[in-house]
Amino acid sequence: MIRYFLLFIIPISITFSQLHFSGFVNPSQMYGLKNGDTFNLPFRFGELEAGYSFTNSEFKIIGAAEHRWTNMTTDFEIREAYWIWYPSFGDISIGKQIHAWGYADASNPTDNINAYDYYYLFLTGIDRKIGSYSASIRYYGENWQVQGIIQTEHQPNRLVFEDDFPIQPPINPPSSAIDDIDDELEFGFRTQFSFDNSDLSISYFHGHERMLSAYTFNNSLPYLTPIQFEYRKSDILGIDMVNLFGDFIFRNEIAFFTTKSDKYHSSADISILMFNWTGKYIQYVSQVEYTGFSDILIAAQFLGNHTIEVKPTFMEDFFQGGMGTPFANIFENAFLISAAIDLFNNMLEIKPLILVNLEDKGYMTGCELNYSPIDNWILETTLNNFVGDDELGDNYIFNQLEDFSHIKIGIKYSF
Amino acid sequence: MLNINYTTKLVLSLVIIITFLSQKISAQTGMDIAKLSYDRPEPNDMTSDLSMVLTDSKGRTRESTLHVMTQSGGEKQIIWFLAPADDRGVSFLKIEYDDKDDEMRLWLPAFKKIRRISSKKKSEAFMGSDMSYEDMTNRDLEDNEYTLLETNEIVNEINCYVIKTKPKKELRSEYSHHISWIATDGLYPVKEESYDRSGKLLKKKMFFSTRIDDYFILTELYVENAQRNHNTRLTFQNVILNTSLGDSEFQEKNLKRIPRD
Repeated sequence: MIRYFLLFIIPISITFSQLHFSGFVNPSQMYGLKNGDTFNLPFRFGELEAGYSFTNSEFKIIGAAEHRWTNMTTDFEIREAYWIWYPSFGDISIGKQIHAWGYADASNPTDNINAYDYYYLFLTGIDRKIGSYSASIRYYGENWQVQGIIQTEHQPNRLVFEDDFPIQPPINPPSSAIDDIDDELEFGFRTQFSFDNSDLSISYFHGHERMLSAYTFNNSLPYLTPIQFEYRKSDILGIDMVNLFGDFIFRNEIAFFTTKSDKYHSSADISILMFNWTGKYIQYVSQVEYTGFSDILIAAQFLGNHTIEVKPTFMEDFFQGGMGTPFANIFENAFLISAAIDLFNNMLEIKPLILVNLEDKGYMTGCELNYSPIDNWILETTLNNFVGDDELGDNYIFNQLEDFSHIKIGIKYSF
Repeated sequence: MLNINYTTKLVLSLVIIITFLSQKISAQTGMDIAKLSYDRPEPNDMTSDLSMVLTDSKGRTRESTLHVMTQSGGEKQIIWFLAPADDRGVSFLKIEYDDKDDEMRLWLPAFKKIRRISSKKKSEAFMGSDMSYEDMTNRDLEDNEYTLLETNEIVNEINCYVIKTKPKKELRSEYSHHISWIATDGLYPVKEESYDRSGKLLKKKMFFSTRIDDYFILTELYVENAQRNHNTRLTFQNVILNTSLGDSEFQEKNLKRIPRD
């Protein structure tokens, strides 16, 4: 591996002036608010981006080191490695890459190309997404653009099955219980139109869900034990808009999901029950931003998830969509308000937020403090506190999240 | 009853007429000076590296390095942040229109998204500096009223016209008016004081220009927020003019591409 890497880097070094590096080192630790214990969860210790530019092309590779304090292990991964060419009409990129669709912040129902890494679910931006092998072509017109994406393999969400993390599926099936996808090809397109004070995008994506769903159960009524899982087929139609009205900016997204079982087949075995799932659901995010006194940015966001139709109808309560923004799946309907405040010559950044569950009692309060006394160095402190309702039982997500209330302290050096 | 003879009446009439005409000439001259400054020769396009130093009331500084391309006197502008490292890759595109609101977009590499931002919030600071989005936008002649205050005041050894610029109400400017010192030779800005809506001094700006080819090019700009005791110093380096930058350079697709040497 190292030989190939050296063979690759030597010719590149001949044109050293077109080689560029950047990245960061970011050790951090999380402490539980209830008892001060540390969490045995990995975090991204550092990231390195290397790029080589020539004429109208660029090759980029972004690697990351994931570290776990408890056993002092570090895993390295290539998060992205792609070639991008900039012809006169737009751009073409091929390789392992992360794409980002949607105008809203943090939660994007229309953004389904890449899977999510649940270990980093509470981060923002592309930090919580997993690169996929894909090709993208984008064409820019006068006031419009269109992007087409094709990807050759299905990438599921990276889920967490560890005691310290509250958001995890109830079952971690063995690989033998998971059906392979026959045709992993996924594709989508997105077209954007720009108007005077608005941008409008329409998107379509066809692929397989990022979360497993059970389609075969032991016939042991009244209890059904799932025994075989699949990634259902999914088609998503997305619409998103950004509108500028005076001092306010509105960012809205809505996605219509149609999902159906890919592996269902009729069976005469009476010891099992097999369901030919079809489901339709929508997710939406509606956000308004305002920049007020002293350039304080305030944003309020509604996000929601609504099931329209499920077959078989008697399984409607057990239906869970496997695509879309994770927070809409987790919280169903929630309201979030956040702010961003810069003080002391941009040395101190404060980002408070409140998320309120609109379905049941439960809320989250958080605050991120970033202090940068010297250029390229940031002292980071993040506080997240979850409050549930004891009357709703241990399975209620906010009650599970209470134990995850934490403070995270880190230091980041960027280069 | 006062007996005013014919000669006195004639003199008084002439004084009134001349006073009236002088005021009319002054108002026109204020607009004329503004128009001459607006129409002064400018390069078709310009590329430069920019150092931006922010200094707060306690003397703490933050420095950023940017690369800037402009066209048509700044009507089209694209800016890439090169340093510090945590801002590197952030870029900004501004396109001014005569018949509709300006378009502004921000590329955020951490999100791999281009964010459309509002050009209506004129008072919002650009990247934490003392320059607001309104400060970065060209002033259209028709959007303001101009009054000539002085014809020959010296600032930094430069003879200047002094004009008062008052934005029209429909512009919803953050400023009530500006007092601008314009060089009599070259018609470029030398100094400006900008007043907030309540008439208090808000910003002081000093413009330092250098003659490059046939143009007076801004090579340093100092902006001080008098109310917050905070200032921004912009220094333009490696200025290159008239390289035939096309409209295609000022498109969203170029926000993601940091210019390389």
